[in-house]
Amino acid sequence: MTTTDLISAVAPAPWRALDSLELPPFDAAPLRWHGIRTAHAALKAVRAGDLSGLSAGDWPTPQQALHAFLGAADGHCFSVEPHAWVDLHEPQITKGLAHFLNAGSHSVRTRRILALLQAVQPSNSLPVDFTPEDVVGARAISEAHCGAMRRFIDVIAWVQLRDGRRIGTVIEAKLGHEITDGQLSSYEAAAAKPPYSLDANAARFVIVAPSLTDSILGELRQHPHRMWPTQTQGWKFIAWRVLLTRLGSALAKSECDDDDFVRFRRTVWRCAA
Amino acid sequence: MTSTATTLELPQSVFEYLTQPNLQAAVQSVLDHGTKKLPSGLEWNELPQYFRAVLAASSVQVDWALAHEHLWRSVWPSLVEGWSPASLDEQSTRDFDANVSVEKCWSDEWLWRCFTKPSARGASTMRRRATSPDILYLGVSISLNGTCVGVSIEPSTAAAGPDAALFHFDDDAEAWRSVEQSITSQTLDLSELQQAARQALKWANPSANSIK
Repeated sequence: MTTTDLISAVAPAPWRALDSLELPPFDAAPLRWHGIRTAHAALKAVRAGDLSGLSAGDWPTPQQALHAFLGAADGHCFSVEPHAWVDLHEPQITKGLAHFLNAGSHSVRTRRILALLQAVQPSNSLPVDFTPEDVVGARAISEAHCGAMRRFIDVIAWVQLRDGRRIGTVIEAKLGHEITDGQLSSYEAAAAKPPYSLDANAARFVIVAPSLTDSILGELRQHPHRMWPTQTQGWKFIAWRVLLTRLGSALAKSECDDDDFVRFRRTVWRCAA
Repeated sequence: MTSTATTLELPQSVFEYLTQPNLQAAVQSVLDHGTKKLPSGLEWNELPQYFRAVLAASSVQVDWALAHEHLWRSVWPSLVEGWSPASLDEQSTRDFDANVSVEKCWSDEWLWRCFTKPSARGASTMRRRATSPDILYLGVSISLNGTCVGVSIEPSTAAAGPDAALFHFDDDAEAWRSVEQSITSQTLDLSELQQAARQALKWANPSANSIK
């Protein structure tokens, strides 16, 4: 019998003295505060495109940080390294995006473009009720001609439904350049007409940029929705990091992603987000 | 069975943890830091709030173990005919791989109690000496996936198990486990778990009735 055993045999265990200690009721508020505080730190790092500055003790991997606090680990481009040797400019990003959206079979192309249409919606869901089986065609075009002199839509993408409607989106991709006068109006007009003919009730117009600048804010106020019928149309802003995160998640869900596309998006993140 | 109650009230902390993903991330983050270091970038004026977060995370972890212990008592009998219950000291020191602690309950999401009887087979495995007794493991689990009960007999339990409609073999736990019931309310309905436990005990000792 050890000394400790002997002491235990004649005296109650020391921890029993804590029986009478009254404990405070459980309060989750400090934990929520901690979650918000750490989520802000994660977001700051995500915006900077580099999680390496985070304390290793906070999150073992960037993927876990994203999953824990942003709920966006699946399909996120942080799972791969970017092409470090290239600095993508606007036309390269939009061409690359259209290239990867159009890649593969009809099924893959359809699912990728549906993922994009979902990602540009604030609700992260498709604007009208239809199934992939209703889709008879899908296409994405970069630098799409819009009729006006020297003006091109950065990316226009749509799916064609069996009933003839085209559900689509127009993306104005910004990477530091200003939006010029009349640019957005001419894109709106072009999208409504052949050869694009997007369905007026479901078209989505977005300006994608690293952040919402005063210049973009001014444009959004000037272009609420001139020729499109409902309040939900009109130009909206979406940050690159949000679009890329949502797109990655939607692509993963519909199982139509591939390694090249992920690495392209990771490179875009490095250059634009 | 040990209890006639067919419901169990989860601690508030455990229920909130199980049902709120943001709390799960926060608790895990605080526990990962431990009590010996602080998260990077913490300000002096944030210190009291962070210490309270440590208290809350510790509450979740300890209540988690308490909830497992309560669930175990609500589902399994403390005595099983034909088997001798192992003490906590025995479970910690003998080759049961079933020591009990707050930390282990938290990381494993299981609580096991062991029962022994002299080996009728006289056989040995690589892990156990020829003189080792047979060991009956009875366990409960609470996790984000739900609740379930588990049962295992050493040596060799994978070949045949309890009622196949209720149990499947879990390679990780090396035990038969029942179908998980998702947690949607702070009050758990135990009737299915108790039914599964009765079936498991019949399998563990077909010739005997379990007793309290």
